[in-house]
Amino acid sequence: MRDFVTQATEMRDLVLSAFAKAFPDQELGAREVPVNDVVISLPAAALVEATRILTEELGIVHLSTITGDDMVDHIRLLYHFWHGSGVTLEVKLPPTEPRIATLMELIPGVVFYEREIFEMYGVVFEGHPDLRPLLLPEDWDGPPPLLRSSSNEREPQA
Amino acid sequence: MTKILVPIGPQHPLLKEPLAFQLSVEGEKVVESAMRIGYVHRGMERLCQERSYVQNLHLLERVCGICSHVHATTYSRAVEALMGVEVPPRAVYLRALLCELERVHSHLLWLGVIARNIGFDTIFMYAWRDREIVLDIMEDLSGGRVSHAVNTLGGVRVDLTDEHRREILEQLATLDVQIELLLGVVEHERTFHSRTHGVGRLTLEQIHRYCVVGPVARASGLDIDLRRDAPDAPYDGLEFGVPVHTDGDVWARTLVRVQEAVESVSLCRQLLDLLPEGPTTAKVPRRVPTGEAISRTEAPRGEVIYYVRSDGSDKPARVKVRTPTLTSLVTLSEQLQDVQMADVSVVLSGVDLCIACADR
Repeated sequence: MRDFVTQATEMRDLVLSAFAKAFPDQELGAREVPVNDVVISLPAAALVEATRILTEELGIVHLSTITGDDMVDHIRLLYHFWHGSGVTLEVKLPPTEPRIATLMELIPGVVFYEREIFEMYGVVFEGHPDLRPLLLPEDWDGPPPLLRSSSNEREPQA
Repeated sequence: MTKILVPIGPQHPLLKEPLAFQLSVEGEKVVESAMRIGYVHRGMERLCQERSYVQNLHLLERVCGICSHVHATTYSRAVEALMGVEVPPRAVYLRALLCELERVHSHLLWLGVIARNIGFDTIFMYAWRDREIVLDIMEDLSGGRVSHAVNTLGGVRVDLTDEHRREILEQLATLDVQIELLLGVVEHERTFHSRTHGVGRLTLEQIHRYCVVGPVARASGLDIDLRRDAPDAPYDGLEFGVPVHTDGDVWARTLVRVQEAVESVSLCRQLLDLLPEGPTTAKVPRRVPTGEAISRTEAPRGEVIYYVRSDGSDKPARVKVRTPTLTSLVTLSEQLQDVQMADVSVVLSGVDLCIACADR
C-alpha cells in the first residue's frame, strides 16, 4: 500500500514550489482548508498555465469539480484537484460580465462543470466549444439562479 | 445509409430516472448521440443557502434515493470540520457501517438492473431478493429503508445493543453466502459474459481525460478508492481489498461491483466486531464559525465532494455538491459510439447512472 499521507504533504510542497517558479512576481496566497485540502489563490490569467503545470508536469490529473461562489463584490471559482489530498486553485472574477479561459484542452472532463457554472453564475468560459445550460429548463429566462442578486421569490399563482 | 433518429427518454422503460438521449442510427449501429439532463433538477444548492445547517442535513439526504446516507455523512463531516468538532469513535463506526451497507445495497440493486436489461431475470430476482436483507438491516438500525436520517451534526442518532449486533451478524452471514453465489454466476455464466464483454469500453486514458471515479474507473484499471487513499477513521484500521480490473467494459464493471459488495460485507463485520464503546454524539457549538471546508467520501459510485462555506450566520453561505454520476455521464457519448442498438441498454445501465444525483 502506498503511503498517501507522506505523498500528500510532498505533493503540496511540490505544487507550491512549481507555482513560485512559474509565477515569480505573484503573491501566492495558500491556506490550509479542512478536511484535507490546500487552497491556492491565483490571478485568473494564470489559471491555464497553473493547470498545465499540475496536469502535465506534476501528474495531478483529477479535477473533482469547479465550485462557483458569489461573494457580491466578486465571483470566486474554486478548482478542486485531488491527488492523495486536495489541491484547490482559487480565482476571482469581476461581478459584471465575468469571463475566464476554458480548461477543455487540458481536461476534457470539465465540459459539464463549466456549463454548470455558466448557467448558475453567468461566467463565460472563453474557448468552450459547447457553452449552453446544463440543468435548467429550456424555457428558463431568469437571471443565473445562484447569483445572490437573483430572487428566489415565487410568483403568485393566478 | 440513411440515418434514423431514435429518441430515448426522458420517459422510457429502459431508464429508471428521467434523462433524454437522441441517437442517430445507421442500420443497427449508433453513429452519434446527444444527451440532455436536468429533468430532476431541484435547485438544492440554492435551497441549502436558505436553510439552517441541521435542516440541510435532511435536505441533502434526498439528493440521492440510493446512497442517501453518504451525502448526509459527507456534509456532516464538512460542517463538523468547520466547527472543529471531534466525532466520537462509536458514531464514526456506525456511520461507516451504514455507508458499507449502502454500498452492498447499491451494487446489488445495480446488478439486478443490468441483469434485467440483458434479459437475465434469474439474477435480477436473486439480487433484489438478497438486497432485501440489507434493507431489513438498515430498517432495523435506523427505521428507514432508504432515507435513514441517522446523522446529526456531531454524531449519530441511533445506537446498537449487543443483541442487535448479533442479529445483524447473523443476517450478514446469510448475505455473504448469497453474494458469493451471485459472484459465481456472474463470473461463470456464459450468457452474462457474452452480453457484457467488450461493451461500453473505456480506456484508462479516457478515464483520466474525463476525471471518472468509482467502480467505472476501477474497471478500467485506475486504482483509486478514497477509503484507502485518504485514510480516515475508521478505514485506516480495517482490512479490505480494492478490486481493480483492466478490461474497461461492462463485464469488468460487474466484477468490480460484485467483488466490492463482498468486501463491504466483510467491512460491516469488522466494523461490528471492533465497534468502540462510548457516546454517539459530541456537543456542537450553536454557531458555525466563519470558514470553509472541503470533504470527500467514497460513495457506492465513487468520489462525492462537498464544499461548504460559512459566513458565521445560522445558514451556510454556499454548499456545493458534486456527485460521481456527473463524471460518468460525460463519457456516455464516447461509449455509445458505434455500439449496436441492442447494446445501448447495456451501456446505459453499465455505468450505474443516478440521475437525481447528477441533477441535484
